[in-house]
Amino acid sequence: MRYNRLYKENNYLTPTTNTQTLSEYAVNLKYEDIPAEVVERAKMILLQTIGVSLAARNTETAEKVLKMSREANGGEGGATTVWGTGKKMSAVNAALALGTMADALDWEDCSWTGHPAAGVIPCAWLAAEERHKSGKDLITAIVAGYEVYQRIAMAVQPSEERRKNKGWGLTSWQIFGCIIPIAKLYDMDARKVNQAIGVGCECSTLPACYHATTMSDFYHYEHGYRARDGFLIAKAVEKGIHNQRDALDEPRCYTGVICGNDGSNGSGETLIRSAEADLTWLTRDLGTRYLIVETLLKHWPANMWVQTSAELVHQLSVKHGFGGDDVEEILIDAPVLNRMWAPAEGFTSVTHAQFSIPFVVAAMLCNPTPGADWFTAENMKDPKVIALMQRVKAGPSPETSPSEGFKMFREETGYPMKTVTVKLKNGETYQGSMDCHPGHPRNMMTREEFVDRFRIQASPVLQGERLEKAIETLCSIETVDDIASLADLLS
Amino acid sequence: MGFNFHGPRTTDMTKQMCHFIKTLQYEDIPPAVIERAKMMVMQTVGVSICSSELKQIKDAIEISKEMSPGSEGVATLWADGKKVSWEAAAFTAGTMGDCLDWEDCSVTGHPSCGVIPAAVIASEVLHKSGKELLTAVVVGYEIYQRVALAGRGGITSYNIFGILPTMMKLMDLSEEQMNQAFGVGTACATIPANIHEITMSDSLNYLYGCRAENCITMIKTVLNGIQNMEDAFDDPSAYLAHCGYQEPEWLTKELGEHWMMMDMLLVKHWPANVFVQTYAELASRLVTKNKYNPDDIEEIIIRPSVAFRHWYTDVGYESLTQAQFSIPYATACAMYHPDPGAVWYQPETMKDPKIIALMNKVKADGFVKMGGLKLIKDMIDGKHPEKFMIVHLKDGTEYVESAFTHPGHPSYMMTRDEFKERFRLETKNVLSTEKIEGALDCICHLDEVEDAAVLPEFFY
Repeated sequence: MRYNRLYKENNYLTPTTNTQTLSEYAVNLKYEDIPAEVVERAKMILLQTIGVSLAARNTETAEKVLKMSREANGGEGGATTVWGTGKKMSAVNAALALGTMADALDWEDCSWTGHPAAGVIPCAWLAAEERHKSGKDLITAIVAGYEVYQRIAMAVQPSEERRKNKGWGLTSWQIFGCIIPIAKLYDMDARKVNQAIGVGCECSTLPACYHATTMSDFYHYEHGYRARDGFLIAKAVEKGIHNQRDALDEPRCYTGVICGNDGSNGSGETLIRSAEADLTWLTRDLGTRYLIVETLLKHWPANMWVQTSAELVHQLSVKHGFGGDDVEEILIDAPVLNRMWAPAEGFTSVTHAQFSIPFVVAAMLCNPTPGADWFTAENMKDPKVIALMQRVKAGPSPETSPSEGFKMFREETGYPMKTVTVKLKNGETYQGSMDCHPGHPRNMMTREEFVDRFRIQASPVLQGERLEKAIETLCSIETVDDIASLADLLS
Repeated sequence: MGFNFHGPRTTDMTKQMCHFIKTLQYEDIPPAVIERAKMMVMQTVGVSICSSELKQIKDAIEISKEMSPGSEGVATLWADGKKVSWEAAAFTAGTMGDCLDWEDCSVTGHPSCGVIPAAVIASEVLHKSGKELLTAVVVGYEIYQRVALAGRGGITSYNIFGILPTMMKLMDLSEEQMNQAFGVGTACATIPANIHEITMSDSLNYLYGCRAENCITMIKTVLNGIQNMEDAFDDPSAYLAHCGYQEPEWLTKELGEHWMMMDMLLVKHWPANVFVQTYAELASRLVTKNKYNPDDIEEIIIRPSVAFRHWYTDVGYESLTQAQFSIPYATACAMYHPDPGAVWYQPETMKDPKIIALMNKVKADGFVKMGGLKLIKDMIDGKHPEKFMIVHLKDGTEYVESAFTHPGHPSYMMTRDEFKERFRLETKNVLSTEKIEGALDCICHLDEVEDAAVLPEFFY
């Protein structure tokens, strides 16, 4: 039942019903109501996320998480299939594997608030496979997942000061991108979706972002952890719990705690003092504006703020035919705060390397095909790559910060302009500038470009006819009657 | 040591905790602490087995089986017997531990429903000795308590810091790996919001189950190898910065010198919230001693009550958590069912018209003075006043009983025989007499058991 002990004067009901509104939206969303361009974007996000997960298939991260998932599964068996392996697992454990693999190369997406694709896509696919849902059901669940996730996440975005002092909890609100598509595909009613959101709130991790503080590759596993939790939560709610509703309507349940600042937050005895949460986001333009189309899709396996520089260097190298051995110096202007790492000893953490413009540029020039090879332990310590990355330097402009870039991105006031200057050893100099790289919502890739990227991404697992069949099927996923019938498609 | 934006740490509290975990030996632990650890195993297993009579635990068992469909299970599913994965077994056992709200209450929460299943299941999987199991239990309680006191978080989140040390010890992690595991634990710690308590939801039990399951993956993630994540308790923007308050000095306070599990951990005598215990005790004593029919009660006065546990209902409860948090409900339940058990929270009991009628005859004559967040600590410190329960029968008879606290309070701890009697009561509807006595004997002699994998064989 709806019950909140803090509202005795209101018959124990919260005065607002934002959680219920979001829940009803998720339940009532129908495929037929979704505009064609939104369906197309959802399909391309599906294609991209499956592609980058397959690209990660042979990484150490994937091997480790597959081992753990199999152990948690008690050996093989279950209703769902792990992409890239053909192995059967229960949805809970497959989600741990696929959530981790989806983010392992940092190549899937970046929205205003994080990487929803690494939660929404594996969870939606696995739930659809588990419950024998159709391609249309899958697409609808993906859209519902993005729309609800993005609004909750936007409601609790930190101020600049909070972000600086306490971190940015992108792997925390990720839980909602996992719960919603599962709840939708499990045919939960709005009451249960409301409860699932409530459990999600209470399972939200601290928005501390310690992986970023320490540049740890645990970052990628966190996406798998959230996907796994999404299934556990959904299964528990489906079995039946009582109460736990309207969590987004009481600051002490979530919004005021995520955005809270003082010792009284979370206590029933004192008031939340922080008004930082923007609750207007929770239901803003729900059903009329599709935030999924504002998602940035990454063109390169790297952090978001590495993308444009990598793109520019790639374009210049293709146009002018130079390689890493020809480069005297590369200037990145404006340089990006905490993205110019170039340690003389190279990297041990994949995440750290993915967050380095010099490393990604050097790795690309040494091996123009993007993929897991860039982030092997050997490549991250390769003297040739290290020597080249140390020739990638900051240009003369002041550093820009990722948070400034995010502000522009979210407020749609532009996107950070980058200028790359390449000086070759033969004295030639090339320069290029760009703000929105391919995959940015203002420069979105075409279906053909997505497909071309998928061919590269999926190549560690799929080749030839199998690759083409996967592309054809995924691009017409709305015609599939039962996602479970595709169990062999991605391995 | 791994990378950190904030540069080298100026404190080493995380390292000190790791060193304590690594170096604590069974022989270093006083006998009384070992005995308490055994009794906590007994109590937590007993109430966990008892909870299997409830639908929610039957559901959790189904979920565990569904999440572990393979044929290579290594851990026993409590109250069922099927061999499932370590993670799946932990999910159900974690969900069971607090389901009846009957295991323990520390000054900060319920460490037992994390520490005990973690220790018992890990010992089963790894074939550890009873001494190793008991040492890990002590490590779990001691670290849990210090982390929980150092910064207020979500009540189920604290359990991460009971489970992880228990497993670190049993899995023999290096101090460096322990340090990383703490970092992973802080990254997986949940926000300091107790929504289940605000909405009185039984989701709480699944939250504990999720924490138990998650922690195994956390440890395995570290053992398989990650980079960085060290020194999380020493970092200015990490765990403690997000807690409701920060008192980092607790983290290493008297580690290895003062056994907090001896004086900060209360054992529940009744399946109910900690603030409800003494009232349930009084109600049971009154009806057992005076042998009246609860139907004949005109009025029950309790003096003083606890305001935020003094809830009524006219229609009964659906959420067992909501019932567990009601002093009037527990009082009525203890009168009609003086031998506690899962029966208190079966749907038909929570909607029983007789119990609803009686709970509405329970009147508070004053309330315990609220001391903010110190309320539990004050209670466990013995600072709460004497409580009186006065029963007026319809024929004018009056019965009075009073107590400061109940058996299981740290200052009024149960004897081993009392723990054993409680275990028999808790498990009587689920286990055979042979299994009950076998479990009791095994737990009481854990220090002599070479392979603790034998213990869960008694749990179904």
